[in-house]
Amino acid sequence: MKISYNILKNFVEPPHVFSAKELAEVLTMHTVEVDEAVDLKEKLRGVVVGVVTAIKPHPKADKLKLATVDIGKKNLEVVCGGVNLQEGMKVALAQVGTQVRWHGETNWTSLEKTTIRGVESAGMICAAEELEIYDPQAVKYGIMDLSDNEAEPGTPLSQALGLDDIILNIDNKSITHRPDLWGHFGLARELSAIWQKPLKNPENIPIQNSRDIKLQVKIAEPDYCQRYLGIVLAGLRIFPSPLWLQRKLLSLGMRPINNIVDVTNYVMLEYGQPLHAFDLAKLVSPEIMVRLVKRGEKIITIDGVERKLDQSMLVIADNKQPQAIAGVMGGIASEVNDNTEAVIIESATFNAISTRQTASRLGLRTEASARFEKGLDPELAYLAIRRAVELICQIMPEAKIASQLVDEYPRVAKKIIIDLNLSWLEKRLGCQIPEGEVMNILQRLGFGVAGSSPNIKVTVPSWRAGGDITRPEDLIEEVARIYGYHKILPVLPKFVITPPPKDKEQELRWRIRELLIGAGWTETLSYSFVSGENEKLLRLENPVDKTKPYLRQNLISSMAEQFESAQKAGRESIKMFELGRVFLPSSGKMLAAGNSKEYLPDQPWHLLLAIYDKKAPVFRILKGVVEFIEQQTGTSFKPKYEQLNGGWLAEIELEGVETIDTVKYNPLPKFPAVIRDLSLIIPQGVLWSEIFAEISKISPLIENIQVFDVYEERGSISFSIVFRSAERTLASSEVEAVMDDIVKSLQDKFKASIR
Amino acid sequence: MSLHQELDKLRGKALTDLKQIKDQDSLMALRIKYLGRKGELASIMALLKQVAKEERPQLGKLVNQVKRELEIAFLRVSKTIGDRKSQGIDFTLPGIKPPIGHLHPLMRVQRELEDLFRSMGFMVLDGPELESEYYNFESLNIPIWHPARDMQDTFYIKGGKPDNRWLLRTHTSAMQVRALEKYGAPLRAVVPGRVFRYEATDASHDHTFWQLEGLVVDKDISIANLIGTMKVFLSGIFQREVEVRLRPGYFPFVEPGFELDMKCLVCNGLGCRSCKQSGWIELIGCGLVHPRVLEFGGLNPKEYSGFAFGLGLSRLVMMRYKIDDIRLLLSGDLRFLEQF
Repeated sequence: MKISYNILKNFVEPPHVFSAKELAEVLTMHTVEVDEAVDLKEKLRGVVVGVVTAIKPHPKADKLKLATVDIGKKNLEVVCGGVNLQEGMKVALAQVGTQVRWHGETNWTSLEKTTIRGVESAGMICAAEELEIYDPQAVKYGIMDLSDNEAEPGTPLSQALGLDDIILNIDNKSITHRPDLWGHFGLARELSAIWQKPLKNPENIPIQNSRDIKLQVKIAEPDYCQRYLGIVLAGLRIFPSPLWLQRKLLSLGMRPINNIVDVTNYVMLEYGQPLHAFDLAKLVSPEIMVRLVKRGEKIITIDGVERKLDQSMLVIADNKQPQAIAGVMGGIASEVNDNTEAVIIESATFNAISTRQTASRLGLRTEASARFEKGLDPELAYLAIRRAVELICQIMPEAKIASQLVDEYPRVAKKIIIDLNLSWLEKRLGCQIPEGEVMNILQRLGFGVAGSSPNIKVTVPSWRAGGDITRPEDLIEEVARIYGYHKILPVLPKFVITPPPKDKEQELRWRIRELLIGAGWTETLSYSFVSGENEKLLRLENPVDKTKPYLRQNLISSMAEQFESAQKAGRESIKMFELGRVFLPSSGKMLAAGNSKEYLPDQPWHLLLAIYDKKAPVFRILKGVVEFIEQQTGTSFKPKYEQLNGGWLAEIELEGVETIDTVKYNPLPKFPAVIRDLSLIIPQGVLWSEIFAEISKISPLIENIQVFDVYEERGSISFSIVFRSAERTLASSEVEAVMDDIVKSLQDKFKASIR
Repeated sequence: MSLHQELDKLRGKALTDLKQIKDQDSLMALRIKYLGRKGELASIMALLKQVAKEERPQLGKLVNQVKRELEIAFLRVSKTIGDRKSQGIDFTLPGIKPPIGHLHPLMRVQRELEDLFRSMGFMVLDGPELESEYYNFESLNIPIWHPARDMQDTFYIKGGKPDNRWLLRTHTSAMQVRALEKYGAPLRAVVPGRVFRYEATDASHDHTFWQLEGLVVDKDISIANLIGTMKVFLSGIFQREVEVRLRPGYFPFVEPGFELDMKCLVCNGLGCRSCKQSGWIELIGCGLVHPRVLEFGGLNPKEYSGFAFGLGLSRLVMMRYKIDDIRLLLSGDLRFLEQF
């Protein structure tokens, strides 16, 4: 939301002159986050009003002219190509050093003294567009014509156009909970509390009544509409608004439409209260019904879209049909147009929740619904309609009030009174604020304060009573933010020293990372979203990428892409791993709510290892690293191996994996080992596991068998057999006898031959 | 020729031969030739038995003397050969490294934060990424109609119940009430993890990113405690004293809510590019735990209070390593990952 400093100043007098940065800082530190503060004056620094006193042709260019421009203290010779340049014309002259944006460019540049086709130019006569100023009379390839402006030559352009302002851009998220801050008036009220300057309340001149037209308003649903004010204005002529109003709206980010609509929009920006104007002639009669939608009703809204309504939605209707979706958007049928002569101005307070539901069901978020859904103050509705009538009559003196001000206010909200214990407040703040100051701050913010310390009664003002402030906790912030958070000094909490309990599964994952990284593997992370056509996968209702609407059920599906693109990048050797959650359709262990019996889908942690190497036996390396982790962490996995593009992957579920400390000390052997190597050529189809089993059972003296060389293509395998006895030193003849048995048995059983 | 003379001759010959030696291998061969078990000196010693008894001690002494002399000569030559050889190594060649793996930068920073918080007595909790509306929103004081639901665009999952839909958690705050339900008070916990927002991606936004949530609940926890804890934690992370400031911020599950800014460490608050000229870096959203949240967690807000904080882990990683595109984090690009 954009905020004009000049409008704020209409409501509160600053204690001194504020720079854009200071103003942003005050609001940011005490109230709301200011995203950006732009000083328009700074932006237009160096641009002044000038009068063209003489024009000569450019000696070398047909389309260019040489203009002498009087800027008060001196005359400047300027080269200009504007098609509408005339003697006696008032123009916007950018002197050397001004920031300008050239036609079609997006960046601002500093204007320098230049020579254009051999003639020196001491500045530039600008088009409105080049200065980012709205000019309804702009001429194509022309310059800005200020002849109607009364400013003397030399006057800064910002001053001449009333653009002497600071525009603040407020972060809307930071005022989600503050319905009172959706307009200038509310922010001015904050500043008045911060600056300790009185708020200039708008003069409460009662609106004159008239009985020309008998306006009637009926609220059928007081739960949905707390207050509805209406008045008829007649004798209108619809025109574009005066330039100051158009410029103001534009600088606050709204498009000018016509004088009536512009006033309703401007008052919304001033007060934060959305208004609507109905063309009286388009209604069946001056009778307004605030009611729920009847079955089958539709409306074409002012954006030209036909909208089907449902019966939970509130509408503003005449005797025949809905004319507006309450708090969201008006209908095209009764929209103000060039022929409108009389309007009903609506200023109402619609229910926050129902407005929000209607807007979200229709997918139609508007400036109005954004405000109503926060819960507006019904008192604001009166201020806004009064201001709208005043403004219309001001810019269109022929307009006249043609009805009574109708004010349907079926439910005046009860005052909210909060019991506040001052010593409790002090505990929560963690610092002492003098009681007088606490009360003073609350009063400055509009709260009523009664009772005596330590228990005081705080009455919430109407503009904070829409759900924003309901309990003592809400008052902590009010006091502290005005007092100043910087005055609260840091204090460390007092804790009992207890080591935090450990989570074994988390520890396992960190241990796996450590081991893999030590072994030369690189960790990656991939997105949880995958493609596929598996109906069993969990599916997003609203995927960002329509081709990946599913949640990954394994890590292969999400990491494969990364693995493949590393291969495509020409990597000769890849060792990647990921640790992440996958999502299964079956129920897990997490409840969907504390008191529910429903369980969320299972989301176990998985480990994925992916290896690729042009030269190395990747499967054995992969298997080796899995075994290494198992051994180092005392786990036993059930890895799923899978081949992909000549690489190998292992996916391992980590949920429920037990870690057992398997390290066991064996007394050192008393007798030496005898080691014999054996190289075999084995026929295809014979597995190492079979050979291993066969050898193992031949003699109890065999302590260990270790493969040290494999040529799979040749069917050759070499291994060492370790022999040892626990009782004596083995004689070599004993070992040779066993070796003979082994060789014979392998020859008989597997047709293996010794190499 | 007497034994005496033979010894002399052997000594002279050995020393002459030694001068010709250029490498350890020939030195070793020479050593075996003269000093080995079956070497020339040994054969002279064998002859000692044939010498007259009275001459033996003197000759024996002489043999030992020659032996010691040769040993020293051999040693000296061995050393000079060694020196000559070591001069042949180019010490500036790069070392042969063991295979190097790389921890993901997010995990690097997460690990650091976890260690720091554990040292301050915080539990590290791990929560579900697929959450329910109840834990992600409702129990955090964000009922269905609340405008704050629009603050976080949400991925919903098909399935679940209409009154408690499934979604991908939009913040690690979703663990707050789960933690309170499980552990009660007093509680000190952090929750790092993956979170999701339904939004278009660009260099500074991704629909998947990492956060770290913190929760402290005890008796009489105050705003001053929150500021104190955050200062200690940030000083630990940045390894220097940091200045922080609180300003109002809105999160429905805290009251009051703050944005915590840290004085820019690059310019020390003067204003520079990395703090967008403001002198401050917005880092942590925090506040006192809302009484409704305590109630949802089964605690009495009259008895307990607490503070919660959340920080963008992905953002912290990007700040720390000056990464200019958030999408690199989940790209799997090895040129990126291998830099960490």
